[in-house]
Amino acid sequence: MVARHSIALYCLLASGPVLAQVDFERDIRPILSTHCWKCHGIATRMSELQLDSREAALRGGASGAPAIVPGDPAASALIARVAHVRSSERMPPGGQPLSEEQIALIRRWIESGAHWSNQSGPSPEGLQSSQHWAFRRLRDVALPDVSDRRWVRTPVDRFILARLESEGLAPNEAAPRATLVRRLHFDLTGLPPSADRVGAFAGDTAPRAYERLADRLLEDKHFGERWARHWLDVARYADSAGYEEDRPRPNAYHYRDFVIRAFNADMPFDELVKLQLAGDLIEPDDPRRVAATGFLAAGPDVRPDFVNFRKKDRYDELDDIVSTIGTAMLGLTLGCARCHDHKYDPIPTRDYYQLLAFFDRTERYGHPVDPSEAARYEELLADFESRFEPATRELDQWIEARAKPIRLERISGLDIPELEKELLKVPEDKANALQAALLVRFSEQLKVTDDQLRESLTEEERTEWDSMSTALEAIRASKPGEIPRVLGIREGGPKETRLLLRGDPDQEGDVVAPDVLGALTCESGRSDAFDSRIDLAAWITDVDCGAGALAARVTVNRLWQHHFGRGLVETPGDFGTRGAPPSHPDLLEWLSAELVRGGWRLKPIHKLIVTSATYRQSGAWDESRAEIDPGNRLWWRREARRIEAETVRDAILAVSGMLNRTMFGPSVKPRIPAEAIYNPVESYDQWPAGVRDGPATWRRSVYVFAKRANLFPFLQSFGAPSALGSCARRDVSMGPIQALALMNDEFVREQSRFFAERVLLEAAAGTAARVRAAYRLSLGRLPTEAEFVAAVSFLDAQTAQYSDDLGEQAASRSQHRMRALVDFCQGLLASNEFLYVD
Amino acid sequence: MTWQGPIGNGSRFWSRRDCLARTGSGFGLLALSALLADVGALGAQAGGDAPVSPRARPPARAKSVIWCFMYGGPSGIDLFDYKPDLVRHDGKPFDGASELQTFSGKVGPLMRPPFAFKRHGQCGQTVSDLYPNLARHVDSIAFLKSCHVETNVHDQALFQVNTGMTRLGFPSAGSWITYGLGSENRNLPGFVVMYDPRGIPVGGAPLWSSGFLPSIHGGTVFRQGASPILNLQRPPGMSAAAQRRQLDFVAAMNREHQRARPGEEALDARIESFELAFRMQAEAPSAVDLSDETDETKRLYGIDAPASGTYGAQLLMARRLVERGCRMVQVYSGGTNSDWDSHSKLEANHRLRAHETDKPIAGLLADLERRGLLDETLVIWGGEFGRLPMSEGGGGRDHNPHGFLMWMAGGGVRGGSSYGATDEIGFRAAENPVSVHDIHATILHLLGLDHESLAFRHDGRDFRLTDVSGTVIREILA
Repeated sequence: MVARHSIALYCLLASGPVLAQVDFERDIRPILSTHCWKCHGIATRMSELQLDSREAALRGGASGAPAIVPGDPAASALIARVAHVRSSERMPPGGQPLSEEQIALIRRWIESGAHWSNQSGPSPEGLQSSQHWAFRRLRDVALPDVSDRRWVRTPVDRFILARLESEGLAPNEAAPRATLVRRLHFDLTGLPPSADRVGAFAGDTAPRAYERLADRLLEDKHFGERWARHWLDVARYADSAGYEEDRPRPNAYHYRDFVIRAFNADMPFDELVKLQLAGDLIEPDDPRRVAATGFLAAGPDVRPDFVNFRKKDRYDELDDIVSTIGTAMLGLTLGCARCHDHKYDPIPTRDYYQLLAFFDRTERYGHPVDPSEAARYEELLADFESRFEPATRELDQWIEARAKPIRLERISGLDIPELEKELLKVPEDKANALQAALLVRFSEQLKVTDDQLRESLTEEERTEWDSMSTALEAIRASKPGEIPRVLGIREGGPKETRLLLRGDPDQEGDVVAPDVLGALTCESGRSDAFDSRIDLAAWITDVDCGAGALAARVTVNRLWQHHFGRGLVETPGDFGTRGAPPSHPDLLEWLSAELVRGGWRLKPIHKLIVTSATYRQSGAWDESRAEIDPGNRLWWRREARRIEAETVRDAILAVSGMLNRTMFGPSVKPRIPAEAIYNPVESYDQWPAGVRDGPATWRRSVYVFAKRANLFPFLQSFGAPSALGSCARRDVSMGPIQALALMNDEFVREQSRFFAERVLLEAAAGTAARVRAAYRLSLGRLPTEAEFVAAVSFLDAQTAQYSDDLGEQAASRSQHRMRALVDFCQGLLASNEFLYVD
Repeated sequence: MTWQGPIGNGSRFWSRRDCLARTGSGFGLLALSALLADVGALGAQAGGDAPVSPRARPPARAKSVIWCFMYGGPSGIDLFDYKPDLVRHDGKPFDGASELQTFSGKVGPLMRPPFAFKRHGQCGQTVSDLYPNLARHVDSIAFLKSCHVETNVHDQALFQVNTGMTRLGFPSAGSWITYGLGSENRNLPGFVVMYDPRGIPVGGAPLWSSGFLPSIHGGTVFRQGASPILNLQRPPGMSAAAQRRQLDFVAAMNREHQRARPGEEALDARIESFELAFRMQAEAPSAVDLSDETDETKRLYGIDAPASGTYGAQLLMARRLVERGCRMVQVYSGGTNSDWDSHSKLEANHRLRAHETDKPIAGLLADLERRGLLDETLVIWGGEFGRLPMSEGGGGRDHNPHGFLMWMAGGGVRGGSSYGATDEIGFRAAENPVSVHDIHATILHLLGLDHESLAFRHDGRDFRLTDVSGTVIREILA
């Protein structure tokens, strides 16, 4: 595998322009940041030399010689020092000298003018000249010419084919119709096609049958559920807060529903960004749109109401927001700039804190679904509190007045010096340090319990106490009930946000105001004020003067990634200089521009992709082409893809016939085996035990409650994200735990039984018809002759096995047959053909 | 060449083509390498992330780790670290009380340990009368007396001690270890967690999460009994023979399917994963089946006594698991409402908790030693933090993240040694403070892993268990 990767990489690099010129961000900054800045940074400036900006490097240090003379490596002290033959003179001191390659890179960089793309403050070069491809404006690209025009179906194919042809590779032809219909259903809806659908499509020979199918599925209500799930991964959505208490968030699902609705309605992506970052400001009265700010509220929550809530925890929360925006919308690893300037991308720490400042003023808030109801609720609550608090205070005072004499008596009985007794008599809130220590030390002896107090009271006093308690209880019971709310965020009061040095909350630096990333903003836009989150959202999708080009690239790449299993940029969350370069830069550019031209609507891009010949290819493998491109980086074939965790569960439910297709609403908690339910503290919310699964829990997996401290085991074992942070690419590792789930999990067994019952219901009597029906329902095809024979012989042998195992009685013969059928049906659901879509 | 994963045969340095050629059938090593934790670091490449920079690796002293995790925060100053000044100043107010941020509120005066201490062994380490059996092993133990964490909140401290970070989302030490070394037994998970049957520690499963490492490196929860792993037991009424036949049917179908798809290597791995699961059904229950252990061994672990029975059985299972090649077994003492978190009545709490763990841990050390396994098994004892020398409410102690005690034994540490110290009352690490990164660096070092080169590219950055710091504590190495 090592070899495979390096060959693929070689293919990409060798023929592309990537290595042709030195790129500061990619090639030079990593060297400087690793080897130079520790001593020649803004904080250290050893020998008065700073190497972290072009101006400083041109100026040089104490020696007076410029470290860099653009165009003249020989005159640049930097080269002289890093290439010095004597180790005592050579930089960096001590450790390993720079490698020949590194020195050669620096030399070439200086030769070519020592261009320094910007990081700290406005750059002289500006956005247009940014060296790194992902930070430039969108380019106009022409559709490339290809020889095999017959193969091309959408413009996408021109780019793919041109590249293949340049490598002497030919793409595969289209896959069979039965394969295509299955591929498209799983990809666009996350569900298998019904057997009827497969049959209908196979028989539809109209020229545009496939395009019509794509159109229909893009309008299917399940499309939104499927594609929302992809977005929820990067939005690290969950239904609980995580950390110790892992409190449930019963109002969080509104955000999930917002995303599903938005994808179904094809909400333009720029609007999606705006509502997610500022829906509460833009449409405060529309709870469905305010719900979009659930994006900002979805991260784990370190308990703001907790006594130990520290400054660091708040910064951790804000970092989660900034990092998630970076991964999800900008393809930038912004979190890297929390403690130091980003080592590889032009993101100074100051910019990080300026972004953070947009959110420092916000707080999580449950917006009332009905604002008028909210006003009434606030009134009722105020009234309740005006009665409850005095009554509580009164009762406390009444008790204290009677407990105090008892306590004083106990103090005088203590075996301690008189002075200490006097000190102990102070009320707790007036105690000095010594007294407090004494009070704590004797707190157990001095505590007057309710029972002890009761014993000392007269009969009348007891009655009085009881009636006061009853009255208080009555008031408590009149507390108004909670009203429906939508979890999101809102503006808190004004706040001064400070930059932290080295990310340390104890080392506060300058006050920073909200602002956008300088390196992604055009020269003229740098002086604009970006005060509110609305400005930030607009900047993210501003292709002329903001991050829009980058956001468009990240977005179309994400669509490509989910349609093909791998992005054009293989690091979907990192478009920075350390991310992977695009395999097809022009295609990425063209699709991004197309997205912007189409008003940021996503469905047209989906359609361009899924109707392309590239997408429709068969999976046929070919030794000679694999020799040239073993990793299929150029897409000469379609790779089989394992369906994702949610799709495994949903597809099983669809085949068994038990899938409840109800959309939206509070998340559901299907059965978890008792031994996998965690209970750290009894009072904390935990997964209910002994759930009986039924229609209410047989919902699509996007509606399964995501509890951060107790993930749903079946989904977790197949790689569903843990929602602890933004997840741009799922883990695809597999192991015996998945196999065990498919073999033994009660859900799988139960659904296999339903599947078998469905087979009995839909097939004519007799083994032959049942085998055919089971294949058709689960795999969308009939068995081959060999498969048919194998299935029949399995059913016979397995029936006999159960007779041996469980006893052969006439009455149970049919039960044994049924058990064998269940095993057979389960086998189909566990098969690779079911789990891998061609 | 990238990070060179586990020691073993050279297969992981082969190319895919080599693999196919050498195994003839085209099946086997390659499938396994995509599948098993025993590929160690190589497994990561399937997802496109590459571990980083090869380096000289330290020689491995230990093959496995058994981590006795005292959940809730045990009080080192009541168990091991005798502080004469604390006894002398008993009852006096604590000077820095007003600035001290505590977990539960006001701190009381200094409070002496309610237990008697004695010196033990050649090294003369003090141990209180709570740990009479363990006290006999002090000469095998290296004491770290100046540990500190960044927070006094349970879950965040648990995250830190397990993952190096107080925040959610990072891989647990056990995950890093199997990522770096793989498992020596393909039929068992490499990283096993057993928690107290009374309840899971707060923070939950993310404590043993693989974080951003491939999920195969996540901790697998083991329980006692016939079904130690979730879904290990066959469906009711299905015999092994019936399941075997079912799997054979699926395998035959899968092989046909695979034959038509020569380019799809994941399909091989999936076929093998069922075989592995089937073998695991046999091997995992027997790994934790204590019926073939002698009564003498069970007594050694305190399994015959009600209080120590559960923890003793778990540690005996842990020994059986490391014997079978598991890399890391973490065994939590303390569950819901019955952990080491003694805000009040510390004396009663610690007496009980120590009683529950004394014989089991002492038994484990003795058993490992007599089997010749102690040299290659690193045993760790400690909690997520310690407890303050001041009283809380008269008889309890609040959390102390500033200075607390952990210890290691076996696996290449120098027995009878001691490193670091807190101040004279046991409040704050004063001499040679030991951070969590230092502890992790030392654990990795003993396992033959260099903590600075065991890294994983995630979110544009090379992450390590030890983040950007960590120093191997050479003073306690044998």
